[in-house]
Amino acid sequence: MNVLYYLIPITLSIVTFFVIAFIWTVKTGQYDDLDTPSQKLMIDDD
Amino acid sequence: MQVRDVISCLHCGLPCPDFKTSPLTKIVSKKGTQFCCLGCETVYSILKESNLTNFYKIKEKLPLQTEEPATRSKTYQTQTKHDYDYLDNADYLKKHCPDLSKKSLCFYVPAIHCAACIWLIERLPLLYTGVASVSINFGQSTVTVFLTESGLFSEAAFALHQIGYQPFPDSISKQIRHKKNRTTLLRIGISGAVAANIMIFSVAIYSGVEGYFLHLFNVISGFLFLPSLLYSARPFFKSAYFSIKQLQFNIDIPVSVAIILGSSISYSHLFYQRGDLYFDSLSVFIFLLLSSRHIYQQQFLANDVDQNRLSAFLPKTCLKLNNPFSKIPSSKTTTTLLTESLTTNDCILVLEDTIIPVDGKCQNKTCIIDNQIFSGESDPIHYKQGDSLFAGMKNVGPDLILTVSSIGHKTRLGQLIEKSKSLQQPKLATLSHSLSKLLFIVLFLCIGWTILIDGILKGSLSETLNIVLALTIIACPCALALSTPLIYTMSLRFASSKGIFIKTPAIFERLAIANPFFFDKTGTLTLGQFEVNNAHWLCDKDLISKKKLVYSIIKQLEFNNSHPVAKALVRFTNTQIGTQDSHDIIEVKNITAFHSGVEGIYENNRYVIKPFSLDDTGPSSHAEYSDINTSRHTQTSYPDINSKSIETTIGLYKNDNCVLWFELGDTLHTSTSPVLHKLKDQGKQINLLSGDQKKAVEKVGNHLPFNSLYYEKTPEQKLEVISKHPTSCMIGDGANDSAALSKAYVSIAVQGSIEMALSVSDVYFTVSGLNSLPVLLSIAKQTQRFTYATLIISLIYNSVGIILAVLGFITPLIAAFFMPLSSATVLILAIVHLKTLQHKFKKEVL
Repeated sequence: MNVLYYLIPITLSIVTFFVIAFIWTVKTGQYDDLDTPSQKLMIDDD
Repeated sequence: MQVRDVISCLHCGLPCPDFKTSPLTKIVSKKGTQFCCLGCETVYSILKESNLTNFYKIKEKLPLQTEEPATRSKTYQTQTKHDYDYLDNADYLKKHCPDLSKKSLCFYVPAIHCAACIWLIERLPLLYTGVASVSINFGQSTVTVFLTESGLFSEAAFALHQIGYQPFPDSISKQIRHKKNRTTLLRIGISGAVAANIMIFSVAIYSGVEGYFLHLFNVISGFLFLPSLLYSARPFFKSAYFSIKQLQFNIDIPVSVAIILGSSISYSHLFYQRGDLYFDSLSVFIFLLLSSRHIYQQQFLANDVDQNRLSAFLPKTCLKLNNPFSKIPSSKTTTTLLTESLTTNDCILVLEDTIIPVDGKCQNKTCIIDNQIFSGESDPIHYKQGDSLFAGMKNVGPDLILTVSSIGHKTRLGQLIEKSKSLQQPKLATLSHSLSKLLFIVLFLCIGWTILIDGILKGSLSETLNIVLALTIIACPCALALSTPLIYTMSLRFASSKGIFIKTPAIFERLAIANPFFFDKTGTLTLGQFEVNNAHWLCDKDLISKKKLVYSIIKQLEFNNSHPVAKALVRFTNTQIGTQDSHDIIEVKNITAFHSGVEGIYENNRYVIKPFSLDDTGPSSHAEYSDINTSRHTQTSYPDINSKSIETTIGLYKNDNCVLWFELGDTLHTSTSPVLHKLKDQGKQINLLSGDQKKAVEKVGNHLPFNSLYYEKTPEQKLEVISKHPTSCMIGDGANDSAALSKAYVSIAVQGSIEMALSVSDVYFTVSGLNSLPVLLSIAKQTQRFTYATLIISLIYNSVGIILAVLGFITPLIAAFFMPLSSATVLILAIVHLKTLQHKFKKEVL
């Protein structure tokens, strides 16, 4: 059971990391417009 | 005469008209590529100048666009730079610019339809240096323009306009909505993460962890639950608080009670280290409820008809005459003004082919007005000096001077819209809402009972708490609250995939009982445009043998005329002699259009096309020969119907002798008669409600299975007729129907109708004709069936749950387990609902 002492902090930090990442994606407006980027794929940048 | 391939326009890809036949000069670029119109050529040359021709390369690579957005051609109007001057107006910016320091403005640009459009618009700064950057939202067709210090919005808007994307100012409300959406996403994401991670520890707890680890896991769960409780669940508390304040029932009250009760019990159990914890079930509960609500709302926003698009309907700017009473024509200079800044008795100039922006009095001796917006009829009407003209009418004659009498909301059109708004029917409390209310009362009774029996009589506090919590969780009308929206969402999505846009899902319930159906005539039952029904030749055997020649003459005479009758004649000649040129055969000289027709010279004979009346020549005395246009009305499965009605006649005169005359009329949609018969077979009452003349209405109505015909009705009278039937369904278009539409129990606007009808109707068909109506009825029927099914299932679940919980058979744990299960059942039912609909209409192509 001792392994839990390592595992629990690891899980919790992973959770925190992803929640923060998620907050960042929302705040920077990455979910605001889901259609335009998919259309832009068709364009080659030059 | 050579047959030539159809050349598509280099810019827009539409087929080019044959410039050999048309009086237009051929529009060709240096390399020999063709354009369909001057507009496309202009755009092309602008792009070329700015080195943006990559646009066409991108466009080529894209999969073929099967459908162009309808708005594209509809809203594109030629405008000059000054038409956008109002955008720089300080007052305007104060109202519409969310942040003045940032200099950004959001435009609604309906013409965006592919990746190439995005590419091109993103290069706006290259076209106008005052633009710092643009951001495009493809899904909502909006472009936000950010300016540099010195940039002007009018210039930016005009640059957009020049490359073919006419911008309309967008409202701020949409931008606020965006921010709200972000917060909702955050709440859902966080509650989801919390729920999933609490579950990890719960699995361990349920599988029998004991002692120190049990307590540790519980504490971790308790901490993890905090963000969900304090942040994600906040909307429930807020909404519950407000509804309590207003003494109204709201589904969020029991939800909040369950959350608060559950979490306080859990935290106290955690503190005293005894009893059960409900963090897992509560966090799942919050997550599921938030997500389902979000899906529901998203669907609504997608279906929402933006009011803002309607204000784009009347011209925002107008030309004010500086010196209206001067007799010298050269001094009649104009300034461009915002329409709303006009005052009464100002004089404005309305150019040919533009929409009149205000109500006013005609100052010209005569004028020709397209009154389709009020009467629904396509035939232009002549007005005299001093006659009242209304905003929304279109000036199809020469330029027109108008004295302003009322502006904006005070115009007849504005009044109609206002009237429609205030007549919006009160929202029907849905069945699920009232059931939840009932459940709420039952719940409180049960809780009271439990407290009385277990708490006071038996005196066991922990048992009472357990039962009360199990009760609140199991009786929470979660599945009930979820079921109706979910089914509706599925139906809405399916309907929009079939080209039916529904404003409010309450329509499904109403359609089930809607009975007298009222149909507008022009544009609803009929195509709403003139078609040549019959061509009658009079005498002159010589000319009959040269039919092609005569049609070529007609085509050349009418080609450049925008009058609906002229367009119909050109279409008709195209079916007779093909779209090829007639220039190769003949050349008609000196084409001049006059008051009610056109004339031209060919081989020293004068040809005139003008209105024809049967008395003119006494056609009975002549040998007649008809060219019946048989291409129409072959599709209907009811062959006995003569779908034609004479509405106007027009003749071709050779040196003042009529040689050929046409019957022009509005034809019925092929779908009209089968759909009406189907409705009749289903036992519905169908009526025709039209503003048209009695004769015209009877011509159409008598061949169709109508119960009764109403004719010569003004918009106000239409409203009256509709008000007499509390459960009526009105199908129509045009502003003349808008009051009636809004009063109707169910209102449906059909394609081709102006956007205003959309603001007052519940349903909008994007596919022309009535074929969508049976589909809609069938969707409504099935939606009702599935809604009842899910309601019954969740009710059974809730009532069984309540009984078992009161009796103490259900612990909060089991309750928390069953709650998501019932939601899953409802979800599965909703998916089955969508699949059956898809299966049912797979073969039907609208």
